[in-house]
Amino acid sequence: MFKSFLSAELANHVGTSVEITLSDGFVEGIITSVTGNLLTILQTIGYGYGSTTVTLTIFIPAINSIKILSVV
Amino acid sequence: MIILALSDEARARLLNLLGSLQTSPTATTTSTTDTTNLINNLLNTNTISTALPTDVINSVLNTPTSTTTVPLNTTTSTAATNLLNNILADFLVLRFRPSLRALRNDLLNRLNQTVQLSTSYETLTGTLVAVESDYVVLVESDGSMNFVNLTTIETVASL
Repeated sequence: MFKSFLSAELANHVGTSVEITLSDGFVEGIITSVTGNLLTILQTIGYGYGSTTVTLTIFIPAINSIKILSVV
Repeated sequence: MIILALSDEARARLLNLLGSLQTSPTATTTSTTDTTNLINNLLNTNTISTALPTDVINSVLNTPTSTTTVPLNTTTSTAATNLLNNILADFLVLRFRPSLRALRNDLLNRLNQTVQLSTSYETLTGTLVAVESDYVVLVESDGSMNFVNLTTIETVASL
């Protein structure tokens, strides 16, 4: 059901909205790609009108946990 | 020469790294699948030499593959050499890192139970639905799914 490795599993969730917990906080965004041990998300900063998006690359072993929020 | 046994976990990790190698751009035109098979054959002996890692890399590079009669060790194989060096370094780090096997076994015994997992930043509570090679899957009471990195788990408790 699930892939053996986190990077492979995340590759199955491209386009999914996620909340990623790192050792010092959360980031929220949409998974855009997974390359090797790197995860790229389109991070949403702020809420509603005036919010901006930033492309953020995260080293997968540095991730504490990932919550799947919704499938876009 | 030092001969070390290769654990299943280390082997799986190395094969995963080799999987990512196949998607990496390289200057060589030789199929990386063949390189994967070569290293896989080396791994099947369940031993690896840590005394002479350069010799291991050179033996892989100098071995002709089924799709080419020219050894890989040419001027265009620099990228492949660097990748193999990185893989070998990663593998050796993994080999000497404390094993996650004990933690995985503990978590496997708690499959389908309500557990509390703590990491350095947060504590997650939910049903443990899967334990994979380097992560676990936890479903919280609201139905949301969490992938938790095995290496970041600090404590485990059954509720």
